Order: sequence, then structure tokens, then C-alpha cells
Amino acid sequence: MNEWAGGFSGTLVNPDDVLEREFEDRLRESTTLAFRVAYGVLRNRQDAEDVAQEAFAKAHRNFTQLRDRGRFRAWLVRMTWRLAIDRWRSDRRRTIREHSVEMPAVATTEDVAVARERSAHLYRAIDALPEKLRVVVVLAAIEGHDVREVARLLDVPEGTVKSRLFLARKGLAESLRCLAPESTTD
Amino acid sequence: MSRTRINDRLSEFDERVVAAAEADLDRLLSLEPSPEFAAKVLARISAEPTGRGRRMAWVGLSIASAAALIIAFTLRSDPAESDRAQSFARPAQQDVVLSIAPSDRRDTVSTAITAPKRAHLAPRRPVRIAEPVVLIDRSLADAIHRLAVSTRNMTLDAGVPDGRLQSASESPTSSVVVEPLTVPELVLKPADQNGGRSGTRLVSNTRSDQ
Repeated sequence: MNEWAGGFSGTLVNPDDVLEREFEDRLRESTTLAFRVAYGVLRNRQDAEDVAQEAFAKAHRNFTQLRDRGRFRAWLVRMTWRLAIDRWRSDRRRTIREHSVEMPAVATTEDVAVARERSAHLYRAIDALPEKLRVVVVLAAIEGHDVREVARLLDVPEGTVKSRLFLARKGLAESLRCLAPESTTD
Repeated sequence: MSRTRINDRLSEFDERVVAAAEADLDRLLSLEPSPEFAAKVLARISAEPTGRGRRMAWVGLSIASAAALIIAFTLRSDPAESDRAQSFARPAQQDVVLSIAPSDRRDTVSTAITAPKRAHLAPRRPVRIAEPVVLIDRSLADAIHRLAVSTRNMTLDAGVPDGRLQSASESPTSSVVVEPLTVPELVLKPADQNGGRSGTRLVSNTRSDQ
């Protein structure tokens, strides 16, 4: 009896364990995406990791409610974006802090100051955009997402993404035009 | 870079500016999380209560709430139980104090007031003491008062065989004043005796009859 029960229990699969394994697989393939989305808003590595971690914990809590598991990345991106925007707003309300811009690949120390200046202008221009345009710009810059992928991540039609992307680029051009070296020629 | 670019109505200069900005943004966002990031996330997730634990907690909370509701409903709907609980909770009965105002103490006689048999079932309300009512004549009240005073001064002497009361002041009649009994005259009208034809009045007096 015990032998039969032991052999039978070996074939039983706990549905919770299956769910945990599936979530861990999704987590491994989405950590970089969630971190970058949070970093695109917060521009601070530690804050971005905290927010991404929070987003994963929230996704884990509500993973059973996600019917279409193939849409996990889009679901996670929207969750991370919302959490990052909330953190960014609360930080901005608390104090207007200077973001220390990380320069991942700067060749010489002479270029650091110039690169920092350009990055600061770029971030200010992105922050000045409306939120719907801002998320499109950030998602399009992350991992080279095209319009279709951005539309899938935001769960909006492609035409909407196209128009938003155009408006965002136009706004960026207006903000950054004065910084370009050829601005005096035009 | 497989991004679809929309360059409608953007000048060539703006296009170059935006392209440079997008290149900068690509470079700035090409960061990787720290190596221990995934481990941190897994540790945080495992530290949280599992879905089964959360479900069991909700089930336990629901059962406890339902049991509490059933017990409360049962206690409320059982009248005998509620009566018993009410009788246990009833406070001690307060004594009714009858008092007479100092100015009226000599002229009034208090009546005996008996508490109703089911007074303990009536709800508590402030007790209102009624004013004593004079039921007898003043002269009679004075006589009763004197009798009470004289009786208070009498002691029961064991030596007296018939148990008669004897005054403590050795003068049994010292405090008792005998007053003559005055009875008003009875007047009989003539009409009562002979139909009112004669004008003679019959005057009856108890003393004269005696």
C-alpha cells in the first residue's frame, strides 16, 4: 500500500509548483526589460532595481489572474512603468534631485563632461513630454523595439504608437534644437 | 535597430537632432541589472506568503467570521436566553425611602406603601416619593400622638402577673390627660316625627336622656 502510494505520489504534480516554475522562467527572460523600463524613468540604478523588484513581486502575487501568459512581458512593462512613474513623482515632490547620469561607454575623460551635459538635456527633454509620448520614446529606445512591439507592450493599436512616436520626436527636436552645433546655420 | 521611423514633416536638421538623441537614449538605457538582481527578486518572492497560504488565511478568516455571526444571531434570537441574561444583569433593587417634610411632620401621617410584587420586572425609573396625605382629624392625631408617647414610657414589668404596662416614671397617669368627650347635639326636625304639622321641636340629648 505504502509502495503503491509512494509511487503514485511521485507522478502527482502540484499546480502551485507548476505555476512557480512558469513564473521563474518568465522572470529570467524579463529582468533586463523591467530594469531598463524603470531606469528609463528614474535614471538611478538602485531605484530602478527596487522598482523592478517591486513590479516582479506584484506580478507574482497576481500571476494567477493573468489569463494569457504570452502577454506577461507587456503586463510587466506596464506595471513597472506605473510603479516607476509613481516613484519618480514622489521623489520629485520630495526634492528636486540631480540625477547622476551613468556613462556606460565613454572613451576619454574629456568627453565625460560633454556627454553628461547632452544626457542631462536629453533627459530634461524627455521628462517634459506628456506621459503617453514619453513611454513610447523610452520603450522604442529599449532593446530596439519597433512600432509593432511597442504597440503590443502598451496594448494599443500600431497607428496610435506611430502618431505618438511622431509627436514625441517632434517635441524632442524642438527641445534639443538649440543644443545642436548646426543651430546657428539654420 | 529595427525601429520604424516616422519622419513626416520633420526637417532634415530636426531629423538629425532626434536621431542623435535616440542614439544617446539607446546607449544610456543599454544597462544591465546587477548580477544578484534576479536572486534578490526570487528571495523577495519566496519571502512573501504563497498563494495557498493566502487562500488558507482567507478561508480561515471567512469561517471565523461566519461562526461569530451565527453565535451572535443565536444569542439574539433565543428569548429565554435573553431573559436570563437580562435577569442576571438586573441591578439590586433600591429601597423606597419615605420622608416627610420637616414642616409637615407633626400634622401628617404617613401611609403604608407596599412595593408592587412584580416591581423587579418593571424597567428602572427614578422613584418619586408622593406627599403624605392626612387621613384623620387633627384632634384625633394629637390623641394618637399622646398615646404613643405614653406607651413609649411604659415598661413591661415582669412582676405584674397579668403583664399590664407600667409607666417607667412610676406615675402611670402623669402623661395621660383625660379629656371630656363632647358629642354634638342631635336635632330632630318636626317633619320627621309627625309630618311637619305641629311646630314642636323634639330635642334629644344623650345626657338629658340619661
